[in-house]
Amino acid sequence: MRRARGGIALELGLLALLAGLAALSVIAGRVWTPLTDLADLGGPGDPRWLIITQLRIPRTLLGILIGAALGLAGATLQGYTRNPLADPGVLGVSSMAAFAAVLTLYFNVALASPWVLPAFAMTGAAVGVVLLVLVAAPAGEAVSFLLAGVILNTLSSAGVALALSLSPNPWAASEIMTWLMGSLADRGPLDVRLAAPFIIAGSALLLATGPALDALTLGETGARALGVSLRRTQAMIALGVGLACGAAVAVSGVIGFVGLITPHLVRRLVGDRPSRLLVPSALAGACLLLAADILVRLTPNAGEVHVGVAMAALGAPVFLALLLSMRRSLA
Amino acid sequence: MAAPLISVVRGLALAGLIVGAAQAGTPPRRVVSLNPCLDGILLEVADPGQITALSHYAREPGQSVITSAARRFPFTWGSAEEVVALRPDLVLNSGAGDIALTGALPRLHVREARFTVPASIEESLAQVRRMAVLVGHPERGDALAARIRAALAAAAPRPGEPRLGALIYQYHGLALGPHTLADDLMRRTGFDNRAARHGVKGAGEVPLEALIADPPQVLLAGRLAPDEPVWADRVLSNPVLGALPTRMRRETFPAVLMFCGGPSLIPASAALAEARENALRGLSR
Repeated sequence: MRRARGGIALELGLLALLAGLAALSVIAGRVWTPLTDLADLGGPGDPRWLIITQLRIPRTLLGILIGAALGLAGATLQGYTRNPLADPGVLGVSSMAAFAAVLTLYFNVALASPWVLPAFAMTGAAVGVVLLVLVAAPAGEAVSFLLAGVILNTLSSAGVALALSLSPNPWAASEIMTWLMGSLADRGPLDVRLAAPFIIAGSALLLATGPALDALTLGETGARALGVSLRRTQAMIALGVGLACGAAVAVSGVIGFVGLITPHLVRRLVGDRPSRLLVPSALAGACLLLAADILVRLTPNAGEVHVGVAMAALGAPVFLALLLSMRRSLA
Repeated sequence: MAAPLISVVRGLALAGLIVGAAQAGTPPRRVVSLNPCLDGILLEVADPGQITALSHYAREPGQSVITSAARRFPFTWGSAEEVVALRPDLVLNSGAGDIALTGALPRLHVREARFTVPASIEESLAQVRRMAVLVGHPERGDALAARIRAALAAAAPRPGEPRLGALIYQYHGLALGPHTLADDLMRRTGFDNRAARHGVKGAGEVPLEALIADPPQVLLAGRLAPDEPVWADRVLSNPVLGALPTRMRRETFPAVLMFCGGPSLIPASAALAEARENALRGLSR
């Protein structure tokens, strides 16, 4: 009971933090727009109005949605595989989405319409989910699931590398590289409208796996004895990760580490029970990505650092610190 | 009463409703360029007062031939919000590079002129003239095009001079093939581009083996700064190339001159003419 109350307190704290970061995210950037300015905005023609409504608010919403999707997917997968190194990337669905997106850049159709690239990416994620379930399903075990993920990952990274090496000119290659690095810059309301339904649906599926994840802490045999359908759990996770992370990749490119680190940070506050980890991980993932995205916007004296790159750069030392403290507590 | 009215008018103008008038008559007064190659043309055809910002690439020494001129103007790092905040009445964009930015501009009611990467000299000259018309100085576009043509004519081989088989070799063995500006420039300055023989379309890599099996007479190795080592040097220092029975001349074609069309075609054609003359002298020795 006490722990449950502690969980709620943590969630409220994270929500408050998220609200603060969201407000900061609307204000901060190359063009500083303090909230006091909002009162005297000159209507739809004022550049600050355009910046806030067309760039900052979509960017903030995407940061929250994508961060939450990645954090939640990471927590779910770490619970499901009982492996603390699992992250949304391990299933290969994100890289299938990225590969499909890269194809639109390679064939130079991405700019035909703003939804071409996201639509392709989501189709890629869907194909990934279908392949994943087809290859891994009969066993229903986490190991075959992960192996299927390795296959998809290898296949799609080979595809991306091939597209890069065959790209018709250096500009097309740089376009692909720029997109792959993962960024929320200059996204708009359309991106939010495209990604939000899929991220929300996928996240709902993942949240529903909580009880099954708790049962799985007893091992697959134990979970089966408790009446958990492993195949159903697997299908829910494949579909949930596919929808949430596929949509995330479709609008932002590849952003790593959020899904890997967030559950570790949260676990220290709420304990090891996987179902308790899900909601706080989503909230913490949103906070983490939003904070990183605010930081990269303020890159001094250079073009904006891609948030995917920044996450990886920040993620490695955080992970090292976690590892060292884990070692100390074991010793 | 007046203040809201002004802001509405300003709003409409920015929303593109009044910009139509600017398109028809008055030249743009706040031009923002997002691409270093477009920066180079803009500096030649626009009044300094019309240029609101250039790209940050143009300021980087070694990356552009217009560094010192570009440093006199403000610049953006190429984010949509910087562009909007400058209230431009014309944005020059290449459409390549960051697709999120290119996707964002139409949404922000910015009047945008998109230029592709020119694949030939004629295409580049057409872009020069188009930009000059856009900024309201068509005569400067014609004059710049004439200067470029004159430079090309001066760099053309003299009658009777042999043409040289050549290959551009930069970075990781990247060669520029048919349907590129560099290919057109090579043809006009007395080189036969060998890239197509190696299966290169657009830009592509030529492996060392292919180079050994079928060496060109001239290898045009690009570099950014005179002393800056490039990967191509490592490949080209391979002893097998020195042991080739056929002689192959290495000449420098600065990489910075390969990036853009427009005014940089003038030093580029001079550099190629110099490379040709050096190579001819060396090969006849």
